[in-house]
Amino acid sequence: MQSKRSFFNKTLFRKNLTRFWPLWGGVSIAGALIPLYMVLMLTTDMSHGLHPEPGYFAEALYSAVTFFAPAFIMGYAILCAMLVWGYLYSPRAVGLMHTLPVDRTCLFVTNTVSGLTMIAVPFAVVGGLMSLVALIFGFFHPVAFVNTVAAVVFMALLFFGLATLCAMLTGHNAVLPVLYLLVNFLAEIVEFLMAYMTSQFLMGVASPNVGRFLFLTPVLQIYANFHSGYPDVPEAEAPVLSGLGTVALYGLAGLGLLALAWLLYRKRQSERAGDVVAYRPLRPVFRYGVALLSALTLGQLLYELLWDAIFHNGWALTADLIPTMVCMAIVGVIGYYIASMLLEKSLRVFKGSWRGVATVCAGVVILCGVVSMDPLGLESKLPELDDIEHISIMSSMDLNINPATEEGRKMAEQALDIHRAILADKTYISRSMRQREGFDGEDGMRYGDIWIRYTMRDGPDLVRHYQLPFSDSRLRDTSTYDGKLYQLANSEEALMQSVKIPQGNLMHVNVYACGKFIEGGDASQQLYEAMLQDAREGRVDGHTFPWWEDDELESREWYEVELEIIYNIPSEGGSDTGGNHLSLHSGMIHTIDALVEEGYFTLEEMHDIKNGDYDFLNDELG
Amino acid sequence: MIEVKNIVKTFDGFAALDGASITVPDGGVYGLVGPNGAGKSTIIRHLTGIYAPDSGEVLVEGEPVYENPAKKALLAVIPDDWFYFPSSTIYDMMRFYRGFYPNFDMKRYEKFKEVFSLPEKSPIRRMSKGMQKQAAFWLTMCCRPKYLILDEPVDGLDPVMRRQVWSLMMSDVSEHGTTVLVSSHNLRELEDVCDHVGIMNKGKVLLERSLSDLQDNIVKLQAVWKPGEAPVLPRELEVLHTSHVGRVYTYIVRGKAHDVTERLQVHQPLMLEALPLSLEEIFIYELGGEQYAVKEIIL
Repeated sequence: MQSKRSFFNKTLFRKNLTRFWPLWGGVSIAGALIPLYMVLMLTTDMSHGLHPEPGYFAEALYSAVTFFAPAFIMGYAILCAMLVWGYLYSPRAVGLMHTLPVDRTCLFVTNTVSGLTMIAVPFAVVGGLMSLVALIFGFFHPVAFVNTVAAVVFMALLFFGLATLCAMLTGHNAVLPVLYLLVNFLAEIVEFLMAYMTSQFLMGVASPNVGRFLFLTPVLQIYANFHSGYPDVPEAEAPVLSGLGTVALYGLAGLGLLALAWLLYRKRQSERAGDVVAYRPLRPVFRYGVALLSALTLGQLLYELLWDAIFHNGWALTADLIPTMVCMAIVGVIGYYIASMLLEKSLRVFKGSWRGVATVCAGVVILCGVVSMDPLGLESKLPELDDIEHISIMSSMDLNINPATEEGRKMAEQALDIHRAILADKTYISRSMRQREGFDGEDGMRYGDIWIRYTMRDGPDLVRHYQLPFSDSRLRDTSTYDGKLYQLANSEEALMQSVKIPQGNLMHVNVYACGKFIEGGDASQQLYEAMLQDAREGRVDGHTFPWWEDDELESREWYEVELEIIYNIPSEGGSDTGGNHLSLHSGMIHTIDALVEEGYFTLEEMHDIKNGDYDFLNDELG
Repeated sequence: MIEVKNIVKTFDGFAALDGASITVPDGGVYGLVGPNGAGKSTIIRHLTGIYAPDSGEVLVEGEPVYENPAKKALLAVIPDDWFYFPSSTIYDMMRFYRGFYPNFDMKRYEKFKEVFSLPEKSPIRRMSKGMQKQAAFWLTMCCRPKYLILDEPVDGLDPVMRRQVWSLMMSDVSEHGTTVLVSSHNLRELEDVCDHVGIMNKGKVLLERSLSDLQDNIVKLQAVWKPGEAPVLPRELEVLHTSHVGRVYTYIVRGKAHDVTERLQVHQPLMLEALPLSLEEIFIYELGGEQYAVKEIIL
């Protein structure tokens, strides 16, 4: 008997589960192979006298729930949602369901419970069988079991809630998975596209702050925060789970999404079955959203293919404003019409559409105009020296600068000076890049990339990427970025940084010859001094800037010898260890001499190593 | 009683219902007729709670039917495109209906096995359109609804089964006081079963009356006049249609047969006879006043 205020209908619930059993049944059967595999592994191990570790069960559960479950539930939830909400997309089916003597709240609750049950059943089967195996073998871990159940429930709520909300927004079954996928990654996609556009208009701005809205992409945020590992305490028997709080918050968000979906469902018009967008107020959002995404993706691509590639060979410093606007507007308008055709289910959407077209064009003009004017000052942004924790400069050389030390502070000031000089020379750089006629060195100029990453004490990293022209005449002029870069790259601090220990004391230098380990021992200090001497003379990494003048680089012969400088770093709890690693080459004459003098190798042996003959090492080491 | 009061429903700017009103009295058979696109199916979808009106009211026993499970439990509907779950059998669908309709009658279900002679455990999708329609009748009538709503109900049924189905419904009307609302193009069939008729066109209900009132208020007269003496009919007579073959004139006149005949007798016709109009003819001439093209009517 159907009561007047029923919130759940057993008949519909049973019908949902019996209609769609191939999905949850198939997944359950496939999942049951996991405990079967566990049993086989354990019996095999135990037949060889190996007893499983106490944390085996917890480890298995945690790796499944942190590695496998987020992506699986994300994909599986949309399948379940497509099945239980599928009736909304067929006029006939929605006619039957909405004629039944139950209200929409009852239908919503019953279908939601059905969908969540379809997600839960495979996990219950797999988890139940795994627990049974664990109990039989005596290493069941109740905390891990409860944590895993909680995590699965939270993730199921999140992804099924999101899928249900998407199901309410559309009236078409084919649109639902596309919409769900888009919504799952929309924040990352839009942020990336906006960052890309910014980098096109502003010199050096390289994908600024991508990842700031990662929390709006739950699956990525969960993967970033939800981990398991053994605690850093002696005799830890089982791994612990971290990030369950984050997953719980997403679970609560899932409940919020379900509540929002329920409100929408109560207002949903049955006649929207078959429509791309189920609510009239959202139709402009869809229309202009498609136009915007089209303009940002294919519009920018069109500019690069039709304008940048033809007129600038792809070498322009920044994008040309007007052609970019035109390309984005063209594709945006096409996107607008495609969206209109999908909404109207007709190709006749052109009549009276001039307002929409004008809006799209105006939107593109405003967007491009605002981004190119750089109201946030991204292009000229330079951090304060005191706010910087670390600077890395990557070009033909790699420099790592730590402003905390006296030497590092000096180098950091030089790095900021280079950055300032690049910004000051924007006009020169832009003109040179537009006049560029060939690859590096072909037109008398040299072209190279330089990446500057500022790791800030607070806030996100600041990253800049410049494609710069270099010339021999400017290299000698210390007022230009060329000259400043030359000075920094060839300073003693820069040349020595790959060898010199940044802080603390040398412990020893280890030598690995052809994979064989030779402990440094008493000769470590002498070896280290020799390596420092090579570095000071530019023999370790070479004078990597300007790269076109470093002939020695070409003539190097590499030994199969790795040198590892181990040092201790004082810390609050005692000390940590750090290490610098180097590969030996023929240019490091002082190091080679030290290896011979300190008795590591004879000259003949060094010669043999260079020629790839390592037999003597095998004889010596056994 | 079912009441629809001035409902308006627009789909993307198109007014499918434009202030339509009907009143279906209890215990009778109400025929809703109209051409394609008149709004019959739309009004039925409002009555069964599928659509919510933009404005106006749809009441069952004085309460709105939309989102009202108690009132919807009194209704059962056979739409023109009845939905069943893919791969479901009649037995499966019976279990489904039984879970929702409090008055579902299992004894009747068993009894109807013989009436309909359908394979109970075969997938419905494998059945012919006519068999699917029979299955819909079987299940819906077992719900024992107080109000049975039918949209083009006998399309696809063979003549014998049509008669059978109508007979079952009529017995429900007479024995259980079931109220039936039926929309159809088949005017001849409705004429035999309906006691009330509503005529719809372009989203409006043009007229709504009992069938006897309707037939009493319009008359077909055949008159033969002396050669060259066909009179001009009095202005106060509302003549809907005039035609003649030789000296035999046919008039469709609004009014009671007795009154109209008396007025024409004044002109001393050689012969004057009042004939009853079929529902089909009433439909054509009533809608003719709305500039409805008679040739487009499905007859």
